[in-house]
Amino acid sequence: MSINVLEQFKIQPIIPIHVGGVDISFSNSALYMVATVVVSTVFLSAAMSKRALIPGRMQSLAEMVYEFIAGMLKENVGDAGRKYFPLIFSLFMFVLCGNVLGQTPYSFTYTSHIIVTAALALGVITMVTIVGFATHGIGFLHTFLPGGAPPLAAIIIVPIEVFSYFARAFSLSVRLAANMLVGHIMLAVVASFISALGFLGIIPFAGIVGLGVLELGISCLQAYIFTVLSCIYLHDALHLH
Amino acid sequence: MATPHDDDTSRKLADLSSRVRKARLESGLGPDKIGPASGGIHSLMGMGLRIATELVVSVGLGGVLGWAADNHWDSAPWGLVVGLGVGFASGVMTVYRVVKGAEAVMGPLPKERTSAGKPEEIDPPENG
Repeated sequence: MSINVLEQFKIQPIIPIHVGGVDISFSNSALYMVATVVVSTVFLSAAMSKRALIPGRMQSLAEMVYEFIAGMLKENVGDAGRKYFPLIFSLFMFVLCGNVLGQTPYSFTYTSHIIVTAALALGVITMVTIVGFATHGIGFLHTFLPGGAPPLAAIIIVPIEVFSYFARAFSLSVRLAANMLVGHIMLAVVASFISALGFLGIIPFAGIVGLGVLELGISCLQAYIFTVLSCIYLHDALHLH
Repeated sequence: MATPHDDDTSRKLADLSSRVRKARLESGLGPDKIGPASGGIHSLMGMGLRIATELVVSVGLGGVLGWAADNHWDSAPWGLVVGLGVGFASGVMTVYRVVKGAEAVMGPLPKERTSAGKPEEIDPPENG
């Protein structure tokens, strides 16, 4: 019996919608994005509905997530980062819930698709660029040329700096998508050994339990890295050195 | 010199400065501590993963862009050579910044490390 390990990444339309020759069907990917928004909204509002002075378990969890992101912003961006909290928090919840929901069996992981993560990363880079120009005006272009550099060196430095400015969007998206993709392929490959080995399948079964825990850790870690890098980019745009 | 009055003043000043420091910390105005969070296996692991992708993506993107330029302008192999060079240089620069704990993933290096000699440092990869 063979299992197609890549089948889990296939986008299938659930409600086909075609507008003017463009396929904008509601797919399983979109379904999980909606599920993420619903789950995180319901979780946060239900956990905070009591507003107890001494928080219960759910409220503690919600407050922990809030304080984690607030602390991250304060540490990486400083005081000026406060007004970007809603954006960074939504970004973190979207990536985290997408990763973790994708972990449940038979589900679809939209963060394993480079187009999804690239859209998120391009959004971050675009926002950071706008913030940079809005804060420093044309002086933001100083980012691309260090102060002490001799003018002649600009010929070499400026292209490299411009390149690495835009390479950040790619590294941000590739990192998240590749990690999720590889983790899910690995889980599927090991899982396919279980039925193939018959009774001995108990060995890969034990392995998949460990791998599942590891994947859960990576899901959280990647959501953290994605968010913390967004914070660092935001810091760079707000504070020119 | 050390009259009781002086002693009193200096103690008041010390008290004031400690209160100011505390207030600054509480209101988030403290000195911006930046870079990978100190300690913690997660941040170290995160940093390692980050460096790996940063370098690979830089070189890969440079190579792809150079190759695309070659196809477009029929300039092989110069686009690929320059693209890989720029990609490698920018990758090394990013990795250098991350390892140095510099906040900047972008932009000029922090003041204390910016010297006239720095630009030469990123020269060799460009030529390579």
